[in-house]
Parts: sequence; C-alpha cells; structure tokens
Amino acid sequence: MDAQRWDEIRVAFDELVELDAAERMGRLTTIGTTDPELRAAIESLLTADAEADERLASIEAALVPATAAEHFERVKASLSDRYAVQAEIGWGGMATVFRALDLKHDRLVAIKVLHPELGVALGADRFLREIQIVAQLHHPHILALYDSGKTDGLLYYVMPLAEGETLRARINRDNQLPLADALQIAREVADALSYAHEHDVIHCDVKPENVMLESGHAVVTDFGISRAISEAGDRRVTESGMAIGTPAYMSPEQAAGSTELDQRADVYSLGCVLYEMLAGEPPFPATSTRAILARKATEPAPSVRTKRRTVPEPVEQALQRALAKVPTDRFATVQQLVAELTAADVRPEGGLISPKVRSTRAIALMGILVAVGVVTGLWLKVGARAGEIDANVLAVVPFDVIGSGLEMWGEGLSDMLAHSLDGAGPFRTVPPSLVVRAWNGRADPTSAAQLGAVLGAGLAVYGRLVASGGDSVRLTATLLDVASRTIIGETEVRNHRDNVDRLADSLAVRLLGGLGRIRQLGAVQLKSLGSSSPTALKAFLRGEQHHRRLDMDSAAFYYGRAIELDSTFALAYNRMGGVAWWPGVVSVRPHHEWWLRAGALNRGLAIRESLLVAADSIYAAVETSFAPDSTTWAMLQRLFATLERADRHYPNDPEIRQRIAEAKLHTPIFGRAPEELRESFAHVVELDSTYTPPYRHLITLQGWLQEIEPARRSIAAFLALGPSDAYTESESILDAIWDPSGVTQAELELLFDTASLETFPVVSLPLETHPDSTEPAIQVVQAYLSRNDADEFPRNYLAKVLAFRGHLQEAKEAVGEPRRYLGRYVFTELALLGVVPPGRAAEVFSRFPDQSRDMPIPWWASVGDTASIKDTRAAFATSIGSDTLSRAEAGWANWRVAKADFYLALARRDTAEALRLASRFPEYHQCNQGCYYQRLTKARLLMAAGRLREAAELLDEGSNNVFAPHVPGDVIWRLERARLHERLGNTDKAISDYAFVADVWCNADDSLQPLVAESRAASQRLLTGEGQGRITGRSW
Amino acid sequence: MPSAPSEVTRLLKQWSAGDQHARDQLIPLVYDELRRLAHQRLGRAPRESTLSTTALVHETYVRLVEAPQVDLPDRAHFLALASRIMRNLLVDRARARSAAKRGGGVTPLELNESLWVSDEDLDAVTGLDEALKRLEALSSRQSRLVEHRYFGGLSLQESAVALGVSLATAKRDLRSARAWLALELGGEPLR
Repeated sequence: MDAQRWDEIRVAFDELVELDAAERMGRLTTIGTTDPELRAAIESLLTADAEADERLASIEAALVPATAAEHFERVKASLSDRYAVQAEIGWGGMATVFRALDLKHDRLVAIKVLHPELGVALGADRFLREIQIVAQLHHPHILALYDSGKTDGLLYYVMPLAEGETLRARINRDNQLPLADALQIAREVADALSYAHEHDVIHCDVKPENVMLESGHAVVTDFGISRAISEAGDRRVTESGMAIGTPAYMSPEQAAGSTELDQRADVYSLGCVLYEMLAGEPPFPATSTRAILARKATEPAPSVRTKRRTVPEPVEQALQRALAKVPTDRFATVQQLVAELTAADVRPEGGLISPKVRSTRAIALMGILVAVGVVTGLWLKVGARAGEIDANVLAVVPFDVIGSGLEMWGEGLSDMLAHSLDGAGPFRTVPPSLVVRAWNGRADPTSAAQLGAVLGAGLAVYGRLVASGGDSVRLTATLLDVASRTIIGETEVRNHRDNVDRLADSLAVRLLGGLGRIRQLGAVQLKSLGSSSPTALKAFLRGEQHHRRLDMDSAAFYYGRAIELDSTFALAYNRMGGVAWWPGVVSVRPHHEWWLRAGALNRGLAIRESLLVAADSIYAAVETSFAPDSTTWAMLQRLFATLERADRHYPNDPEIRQRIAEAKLHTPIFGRAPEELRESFAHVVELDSTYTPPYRHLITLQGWLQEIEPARRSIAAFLALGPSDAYTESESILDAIWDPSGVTQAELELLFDTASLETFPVVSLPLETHPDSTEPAIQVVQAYLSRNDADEFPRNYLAKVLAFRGHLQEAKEAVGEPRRYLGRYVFTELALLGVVPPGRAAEVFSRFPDQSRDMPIPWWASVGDTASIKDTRAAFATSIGSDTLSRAEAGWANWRVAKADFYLALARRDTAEALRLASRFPEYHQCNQGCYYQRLTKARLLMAAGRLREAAELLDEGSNNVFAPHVPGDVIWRLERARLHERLGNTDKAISDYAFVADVWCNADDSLQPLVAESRAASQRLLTGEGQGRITGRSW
Repeated sequence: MPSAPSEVTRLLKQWSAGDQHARDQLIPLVYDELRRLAHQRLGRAPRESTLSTTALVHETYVRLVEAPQVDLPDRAHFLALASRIMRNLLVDRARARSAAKRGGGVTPLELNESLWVSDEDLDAVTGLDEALKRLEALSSRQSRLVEHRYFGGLSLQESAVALGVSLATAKRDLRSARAWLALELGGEPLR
C-alpha cells in the first residue's frame, strides 16, 4: 500500500464510519462493485475501529493515561485516615474527582484532587487559605465546600457528592434546551452568583461543566477554585494556560490577564452559558484558544436569534448586553440580568423543568461483547396495574429537595412517611423502593398523578424540603387524589435542619388528619422504622438509598453504622441480611444470622415490613436447621403462609413475589417443575422490569428449558439496567455464547482468561442442558478448571457436568478419589451406572465420612451387599439415642434409618414391603443427594405394580434435585418419564422428554447410546404417528 | 541542573517564530530534563516502575517553561517536541534492554539510570515505534499525531495546533490512525 492508496481508503473510511449500519452496507456494496479490495480494506478498518479501544488497550494503558490506577491508589492511601476513597468518577483539566466515604460524618462525598503537575506550581498554603473563603458560602444553589487540605503532596477539596448530571451532559444530549428550562437554570445560577458576589467571591469559571442539575435544579460547583488557583499559582501557572478559566466562557478582560476582575466577569460567563443553552453552542465556538480570544476581542457577540429564531427579542437583548466587550457596557450585577430576563415576561409552560431523565449508567460490557440494549426500550415497565387503581393505596413520592446537604432526605422522607402511614386504617402504602424505581418526575400534581396511576395508588403525597434561611428547613406536602387529580390537603412544617426526622413525624400526623377526613381511621398508632436514635435512622435511610441502587458495599456500610448506633434496629439487621445474601458482598456474618436477629427484634413495625422480616427469619431458620422432619415441615408451612399473607395484603408487590419465587426454588419441598419456577420469576419481571433480583434465576431457568431467545431477551433487559452486580459479567458471557452469530473460539478463550472465578459456575449452570452438541457447559467448566486447578471444587464440578452429558468415563477420570461432597455425589452416580469397577467402588465407599455415609446405600443394595447397609443403619440408629444430637441431626438420622430399611427390602426383592416403606417417607423430599433416586425407585415400583398414574404424578413433580442439579440420574428420570407418558398416551410430554434425553446425551459414551437411539426413534415415531392416534402398550 | 526557564522560553518563542536553529538548541535541554525527572522520580519511589510518560512530559513542561504570554501554540509545540524525544528515549531504552538480554552490546549508562518503563511495555514500545514508521510513510501527519498522543499525552486540541490542522481533522485523523494501528499491531495489517 502506498500513501495515495491509504488516502483513498482513509477518505472512504472517514465517510462510512459516520453512517448507520444500513447506509454503510449500501455504500460498501457500491464501492465493492468497482473496487472489491478497497471495500475489504474499509471493512477491516471499520471492524478495527469498533474494537480499537479494546485492541489498543494494553499499549494505551502503558503509555497514555497518567496511570489512573496508580493515581487512585496514591490518593486512596494518602486520604485513608479520613476518607474511604471508592472510585474515580471524573476527570477534568485541573483535577480528578473521586467518590469517597467521609468516615467521620458517615456520608458520601466527592473529593477533587488537583493534578500533581498543577499542585507542583501552586503555593499550597495560599491555595488553602483562598479556598477557605469559599467554605463560608451557604446557598441552596451552591455546592458546599466541606473540607480542603494537602496530603502527600496532593491538594484536594471535598464537596457533597452531587447526584444528577452536569449542565454539560444535558446540553450534549439535548443540544438546545427548552426556553423555560434554560431561563430557570440561568436564574438559579444567577441567584448563586449574586449571593457569592455579596460575599466578595467571584466565580471566575462559570461554565456548563460547573453547573450540576439535581432534581432539575441548578447547583453551581467549584466556586472560587479558579480564583484560588490563580492567586496561589506562580507565574508559570497563570501564564501556561493550564488552569484559570475556560476560553469559550471567559470574559475579554479575564482573557487579557486582568487582575482586577469583578462580578461583571461572571455576568459575561453566565451570558455565554445561557447563550449555549439556547443556541446549542457558545457565542464564540472556535477550535483554538487563540482564535476564541481573538474573536472575543474583536467581533460583537452573534445574535442568538440567528441560531434559534424562537428566542424572544427581550432575551436576545439581555444577552447582547451581558456579552458586551467592555465591563461598563454590561449589566452591573447578575441580578440585573435576571431582572431583565424576568421582565421579558417569558412565561414558560408551567414554569417547570422537564422531567429529569434517569441516568442510565453506561453498561460496562467487557471487551468484545456486543451491546445488547436494543430490545429493552420496549421492554421496561414498572407496575402491571395501570388502570387498576386501589383507593386505599397511597404512594409517597420522593421529595423535591432544595439546599445542599439535605439531598438524602429526598428519598429519606418518603421512606419514613411510607412506613408511618402503612396500615393506618384501611390504607396501605406502596413500598418506597418501588416508587423510586418508577419515579422520574418532579414533585408536582401531574407527575404524582401519573405515578399513582402506574402504581395503582389512589392517593399520592408529594412535597418539597427547602433550606430556608439560617439552619431552618421548611417541609411542605400535598395529598392528592389520583383519579380526579384534586388536592385533598396541603400542609407545611418547619424545624431546624438537624431535625428533619422529627419533621417527618409531624408531617405524618398531619397527613393522617387529612386521611381521616376521607376514611374512617379508628385508633391509629403511628409506626416508626423501629429506631429511636436519629443518627441510626439517618444511617439506615442512607443505606436504603444505596441498597435500591444496588450499591451494596455502601449499603452494607450504612446498615452496619445503623446497627452500631442502635443494636435493636430490626430493619437494619434485616436489610443487612439481604445485602449479605447478595453475591460478591463480603459480610462479617452470614446472611441468615442477620435475618434471625431481625426476626427476634421484630416488634412495632408496619405490616409489610413486619411480614417480610418474619418471612426472612423463618427462611433463615429453615436454612440453618433443615432436616427431613415434621419441625422443618411446619417451618416451611409458616414461611409460605407468611409470604402468602404478605401477598394478599400487597398484591402484585414485586419484592414479595420475588421472595415467594426464591422460596419455591430453594425449598423444593414445594418443588415445582422448572416451567413453573420460570413462570414465577418471569412474573416478577413482568411486575417491575427494572428490579434486578429475579433476572438471574429467570435466565438460568430459561436456559434449562432451552428457551434461548427469551433468555437472551432477559439478559438484554438485565444488562440494560446497568446493574453493578456480580452477575453482569456472567450474563454477558452467557449472551455471547448464546449469540447465534457466535463468538469465535479465540474470543471465548479470551473471555475465559479474564473472567472472574466466581463467574464460571454461574455461566455453566444454565448451559448444562444446552442441546448444542458443542456442549458449551463443558468448555466453560474446563476453562474454570484450567484457571483454578488447585481447588477440588472445579474438578468435581467438571465431573458432574461431564457425567450429566453422558461422558461417564471422562467424569470418572475427573473425579478421581472424591474428597468433597459434590465429588462423592458424582462418584456414587457413576458407581450406580456401573462405570466404576465394583471392587474400587466398595473400597472408595468404605472411606466416605459420616456426613456421606448413607450415599452408597442404593449401590450396596444393587450389588446385594446388605451387610454394609445394616452396619450403616446400626450406626445411625445408635446415634439417635445420643442426647448431644441436635433436632436437625436427629431428623436426618431417622430419615437415614428409614432409607436403609427401604433398600434392605429392595435387596431382599420384597417389593411390596419396599413400596410400603417408601410411602412412609415424608411427603416432601428435600434431597441432599440421591434422594431423587429413591423417588425414581419408588416410581419404578409403582409402574411395576401397574399403578401408572401414581407413578406419573410422582415423576411429573420433577427430580427436585436442587443441591446438585443435572447429574445422569436426572436424564434417566426423564427417560423413565418419557416411557411412562408414552404408555399413558400423553404424547406431547413423552416427545419432550425423549428429546431432552437425545439432546443431552447426543455425544454420550457408547454405553449410553442404545438409550439415545431409543429416545430418537421414539420421538420420531411419536411425531409422525401423531395424526394417526396414540401408540400405547409398547413393551419397554 | 535544569536550564534557566527563561532561556527555554526564549528558544521556544524563536522556534515558534520559525527559527529552526532554536529547535535544535531546545532538544538537548528537553532531553536532559526528561531523563533527570524520570531518574528523580525513580529515586523517590522505586516501585513506580510504570511511571507515566505523559506525566513526565507535562512536568518537564512546567519546569522548563517560564514565560509571559506562552500560549497554546507554544505550549503545543513544546509538548510535541517533548513527545518525539520521549519516543526516542523509550525506543533507545528498549533496544538497549534487548541487546543486553541477548548478551551482546553494552548498555549505555545513562539509559540504565532511567528505566521507568517495564520490560513488557518496552517491547510494546518497539512494536509501536515500528508501526509508526510504517504509518509515517503513508501519512506523516497521522504518525505524528499518534506520537503526540501516546508519548506526550497531548490533548487533541494541542495536537491539532502543533500540526496546524483543525480539531475536526485531528479527530478524524486519530480515528483512522487508531483503527489502522489496531490492525497493524494485531498482526493483520492492511495490504
């Protein structure tokens, strides 16, 4: 290739890279007809372009960024005594911004650390002194300065962590803002500037990057920082163009290096910002600093109306005056500018900022994975009850908050009120987490009514919390009838800003007064969240806010603080359990301990929370003391009764439905077929597609049911939520594997090389039944083993997957001498299938520890070794008498004795006795292992006795083999069931089961091939014979 | 010893005004300062073996340039020059290292003192350097643009100024250059 050819390629590339896929294809086709080589070159270049970030990652990481990771570590270490630095969240010309936890005040903050090369040139003391002046500013539209300092050579300052987006992001997205929004933002920025000017602080760097939009309101950041830098910097800084102002927004006098700047410099910059909000670009857009400054000095500001004709004339005139070259020609103060804009009598529709757009966090997909968000736009919905409004359901909308340092109360107040009002008379409240997920509006009647309609709430409460002079705050609330959109009542309370929690209580009392006028309430006891400590309560509320956003580490921190501050805080314990249960969260205690503790403290809570705390604690009790006995049975009945009660009270509550689905899945006593479980989780998603917990199980179950397309849609929806979730990685890999256009082997290997170890089991599980003969689950687990061969678990896991797919010999190799539970389980399966030589099996079984001692019983029965069964039985029978045995241990011992008796009868070929004993097993079969095998045996006995329908009923429940799903026995179960249904004439069921066997064992060992051939032939026969009546009575 | 900032500034201005001789005089000054800084950094924190070249270039700038009215073009030219020097330094370093590994050749002392990049990174640098030479033959502007970005950490705007092109052109150039480079370094070069 020569330079001329490269030019040709490049020009075409530059053009095509901007086009969408369809247009590109068209152009490529055209080019290809005349110059196929050119087309090929462009195509490779386009592919490389799409992957350039990834392909160049290592070289760019080595050279380009100022080793962000190292910088992060340095900052983290040097601030560690006061702040727990969590992540880098932004980077600009002067500083890097980190999110951190302020350890002393228990709050999340943003720390800006000046770039080291800038720090070098600054007088630290001077800078810190300058910035302290700024710390005196307190205003609702100014982002407060909490702290500043110098450590390890780094200059930093600390601010509240602002939620929301910058005005820059908003302009980038919308280009031109609605007039009303632009004017409101300008007015709010002007308020802030005016207040600062009264305190002799000039901002000197007003620009869209320094305006945050929080719940639609403007908050100005970085007050006086630029000034502090210029004051403290030596000449190099001032003159290097490194900091100080931003050319596009800088007044001519500032650009000229004047040291006598006054508020009129800010007037000019605000003019530029307003201009850009209206026109979509600043008045002097140019590519180089010099060009901008030159134009500013010489050209008059362009008319905004040439860029946007609808801008009213008075606004245009005000802008012209704000952008005057000479300060004396400008407005003398920002307030004058505001007055002019207001006098322009622009009446924005409703005067409200358009709804805050939820920031969908960028989906961090690894490497080569393709973005999958396409379908989700159509898919997201919250609440399935639109149109069905319950007059007794009340939604408390997050409060609008104006005033820095109060942000947490936006949701915190709705948490408290929702809890206080839940269960008052006939009223129930919508859980705040659900409200928050559905909410993207503002505290106004229209948004509140829409939300109420979506959530099925007949009443809505909305309001605002405003900092009102000194340290006091004002809280107003409105009670709205959703259907008629009429206001039932309004109220206002005031208090010191430290007492917002008490404000919430007085507000709740007044709201109850309002509710009492429309419904008979009777005697109402106001429910609290269960802590009398205001600090514990605040920590808990912050925890709730992080929890809802799945920021589990921060949530755990705050719940932990709440517990530290109030050791009787039941809800905090309960939430902590939920967080600890979350994958990837490291908790000081296992989840069930937190849940049990919460259960013990469960008093005085509102109905919904009280039921959920109870359900979680029963679940924890089941988990910790499970045994096949009547006590467990009773606990499980209580668990489901509690959940069903909650479900009746709060129908279609996704969180309650999720708990029910989880309970069904994890307690297979009520074990259902995978179809039914899948239905349960799908229903939760249907109720609220933005709620992430159900997705993982839904995807796994869809995988098992070989519903690949629906599973991929679930993954897309899940990933589009941008969950900061341990499953993001595994679900992305799963999607890549399921992608019909496929990933290459090399790409797959790359994924496996970089995936975290916990990912592998999660990825392999849904793939285990995958009909594809490439058997991806096996590849996944092999990759897992190659990454972690020191551990026994991956080897056992590989053996399990191999055995399930019928690679029995390889499985035997993999399992070796089993030392862990799963390995022993697989080994037992293999022995039962005759793969292990009997001598070897007997020898290995003799070394099984007590915990697994009953595992070989079916095998001993099959080889007629009744002596070993009797020995084992005797050992268990003796242990029952011991008084050191716990209730659960005794339950297990009893069950094992019964199991031994059952197999002894079988070994004697006394089938009538065996069947009698089998029916005495508890009706529920939580199988630790091999117990599905007992049920299979029982089904076979029933079949042999001609009791086909009973057998079918039993087999239809599924093998419920939840502890280690997918062992060969599961396939045999399906084969047995297929044969049975064929005999019973249930053709569809038979076909589905035969197909399952043929798919799963498509590559199985020769010894299993006759069964595969049988399944293929049978499903073929049933499929073709379908129209000609059923085939029955085939001998088998 | 670093040179007097005023001298560097004077040379920079002369060079900006078109005096190539000034550029020649600037080079050794920047070269020395870059090496000195790298060495000093290592002395302070020996574990920082992947010290950012970009940060070094910028710090060199802050230390060397003290001038009234140094504006963007001068700054950009300085950084562009420093990025070329940084590239040479790194490539020399990589060659010396691989020669030493083979047992032949003598490692120049001054290079030994300034090892601020790991072995793997040095290998990558050699590959990159060769790719950039090939790109030079196709489009010297793009080759220099990548050099600015990779070895000097120049912003797109600074690069555009140093190369005398518009920001939009620089953006386009960088995009196709990166795609080209991805193919080249990935072992599937365009033919």
